[in-house]
Amino acid sequence: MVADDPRSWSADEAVGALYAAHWRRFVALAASLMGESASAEEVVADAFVTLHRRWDRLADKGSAVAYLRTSVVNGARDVLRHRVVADRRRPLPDPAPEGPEEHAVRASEHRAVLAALDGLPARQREVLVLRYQGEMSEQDIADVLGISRGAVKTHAHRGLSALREAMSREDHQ
Amino acid sequence: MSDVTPSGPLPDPDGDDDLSPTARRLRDALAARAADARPTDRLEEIRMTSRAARRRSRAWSAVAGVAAVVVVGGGAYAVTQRADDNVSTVAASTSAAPETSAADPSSPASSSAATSASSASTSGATSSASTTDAPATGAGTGAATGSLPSGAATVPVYWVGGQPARLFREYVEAGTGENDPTNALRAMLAGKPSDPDYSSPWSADPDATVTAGGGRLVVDLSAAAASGTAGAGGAQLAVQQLVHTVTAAAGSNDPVEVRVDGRARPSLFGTTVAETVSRAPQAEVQAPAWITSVTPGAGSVTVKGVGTAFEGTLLYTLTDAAGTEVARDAVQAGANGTFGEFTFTAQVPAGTYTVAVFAPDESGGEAGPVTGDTKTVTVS
Repeated sequence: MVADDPRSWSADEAVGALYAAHWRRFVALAASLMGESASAEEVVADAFVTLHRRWDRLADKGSAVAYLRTSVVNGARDVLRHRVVADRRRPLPDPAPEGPEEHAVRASEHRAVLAALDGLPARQREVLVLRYQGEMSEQDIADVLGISRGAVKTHAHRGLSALREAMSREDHQ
Repeated sequence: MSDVTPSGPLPDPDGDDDLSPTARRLRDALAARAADARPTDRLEEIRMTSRAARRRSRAWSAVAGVAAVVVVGGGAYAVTQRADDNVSTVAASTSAAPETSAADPSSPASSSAATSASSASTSGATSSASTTDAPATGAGTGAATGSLPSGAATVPVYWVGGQPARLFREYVEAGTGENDPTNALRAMLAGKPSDPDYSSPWSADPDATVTAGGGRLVVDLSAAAASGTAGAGGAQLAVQQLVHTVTAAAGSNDPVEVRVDGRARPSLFGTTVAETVSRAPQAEVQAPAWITSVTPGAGSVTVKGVGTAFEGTLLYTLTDAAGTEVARDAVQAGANGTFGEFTFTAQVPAGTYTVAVFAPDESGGEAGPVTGDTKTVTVS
């Protein structure tokens, strides 16, 4: 068994424990950031390999999750930067279609808001994804995106306003 | 839309009270999508890549000076677990970038491509130990249908070896073909394995190609490429050799369609090939033990590899130039059909040795000889 204290972990143990706890959610986060899922696993796998490589020199092992998350965000953005714009938005697969009707209704609401999210300018989308999926603080988002906290607020506000408008258009149709 | 910058903090995702309906709806939709995500399990691949990176950084200088050492990449079997359609996401331009400080997480995106690209160049050894197989697709061609990775410096090629015959993998220098799978295919057909124990029934075809489309990899060969003989039972292994090679280089599990002079379902080595062929189960075609690196030290030699055995126990021997066995011991690898890494260090005086790793015969000899892997190493 691996002890609970990350400082006692070997690189292998750290990767194993963090993979078990975070692989899925980081892949989902990367997929949301990139607007497609095909490359998300690669980005997150790379982040784990990087963590393993630097583990012994990682000053604050207690922050390994934050380190990993930063790697994932940077990796996802790096991919996006190099991608042709037209190629960027391949749709994510729809949530599982099976299930009770209620689930179907919710899924359709989800699709609408996610489609609106995908239509936002990149920065707004990034801020909203990091905030509401990555559950990152304003300061963390500012740090990882290299912008001010004020800019984070502005992008979040504009993004949510645009989503609200898109939703209300949808509701009135 | 309003341009007014709000003054308060962002709504707390955990405190529903402050969350606007729009924000809540977004959060729930993102959570639902994340909950429905079923990413491939890639822990083993991450581990193999990580270990390979370590091995390189620790052992490379020791390996470099010894001409007798043959190094092949570790961990090809990780490839078989890759999701279809995946793409290396790291910009190819990161090659050989010096590592930044561990305390600086600002640029960790350049991970595995950097480590794999920086490996083989320092050595006379035959191959890169890149286990990612991950074909850097020049940054960002995406995973569109029909795209195959290209630009890798080395490509995986499978060879036939041992008795009974099984597949072994080496990395070879990529040629100038259009994509990595094409380069791997041509290298396989050209048939120049680094390890003299390996062979290939195929014949050279410098115009052979691999393309992708319709969820399959399409291999185009000339009849001359399969004009040799593969021996009894060799035809199927030869086809698996081809399938393993192109899928490994493509980073894909897609089925492979082989066309000879444009015709589908060709006859190869006397056997008609199905319209598409996928990788056979590892345990049926892959050698039970691969030696992936042999590193001489002072009075010792360290051997690493990948293998599988009943209850995970492989055997190794070191034999000196006179044919005398100087070391024999067991080593743990993967058990019962799963492949796992092994490593051992044997203490030996200076000299040239043959290292052999093989699965022990559990049948009391009834099953006949067992396929092992051997390498030659000089300890100074």
